[in-house]
Amino acid sequence: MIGLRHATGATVALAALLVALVPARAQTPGACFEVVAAQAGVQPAILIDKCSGRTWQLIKSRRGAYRWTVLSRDNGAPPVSVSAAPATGTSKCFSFEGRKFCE
Amino acid sequence: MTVRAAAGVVIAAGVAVLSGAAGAATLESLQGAVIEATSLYNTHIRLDGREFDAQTRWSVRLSVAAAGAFNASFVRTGIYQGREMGSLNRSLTGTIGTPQQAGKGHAVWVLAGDKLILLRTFEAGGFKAEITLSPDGKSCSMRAPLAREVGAGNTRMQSASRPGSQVEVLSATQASSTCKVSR
Repeated sequence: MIGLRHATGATVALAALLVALVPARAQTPGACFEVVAAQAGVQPAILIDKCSGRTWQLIKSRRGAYRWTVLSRDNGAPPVSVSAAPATGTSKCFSFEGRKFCE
Repeated sequence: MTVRAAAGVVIAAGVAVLSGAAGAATLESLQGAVIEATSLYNTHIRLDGREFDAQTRWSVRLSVAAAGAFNASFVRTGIYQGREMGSLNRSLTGTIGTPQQAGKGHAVWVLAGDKLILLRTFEAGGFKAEITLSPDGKSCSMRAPLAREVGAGNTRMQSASRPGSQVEVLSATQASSTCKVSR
């Protein structure tokens, strides 16, 4: 029952994500979101919001639910905020390690 | 197939759809690639209390292995009146998408669409190298502007010309760049 609930939740979350992202990409060149596909057993999927500067990785919890979690460093340090402004967009700024930089 | 497994398949399919929709470079397509790029800057710097017009050449050689694992070597060379005054070498190994310490700052490589982007921070200020890959992944171009840090004044980093000194970059303009991909 718990597994069913989590699976359903994950499906709903994904559906919401697809609804939010796919039409936006289809209608707007250079839309905000980029997804880097997962490498099985090695590299989780990474979601980059190039407009807001937020980055997440897709993590499966112990209970089996999938969640986008803020990208964290691999040395146990607190999560960092990493963003990469789109090269051809209007933004000339990015944030990294809590610091903001502009061309 | 359980509901949980089905949900996993849906998520995997969704990720594949989104990734494919971008026509983007992927960690898989980059596997085995060696990217070599160079950027030349015209700069106005302050070093040991004096100001100079100088040039800086920055080079990177990036080898990408499986699952985004990379090995990168960097060389920054200070040039004054056409003469190379010294250089700094640095090597990094890591994974694309994972931030790491780099000298007195941090660095992270990020894949975004058809671009492989290096974000780098210094003592003050930063740097963004955007390597744009061609659709077939066989060629590239690089744009690599220095970036001022908001609220931190001029960009400051270790001098390539004078070991142990800190150089303050008052201005820097990318004059030219090269980029190539091999496998």
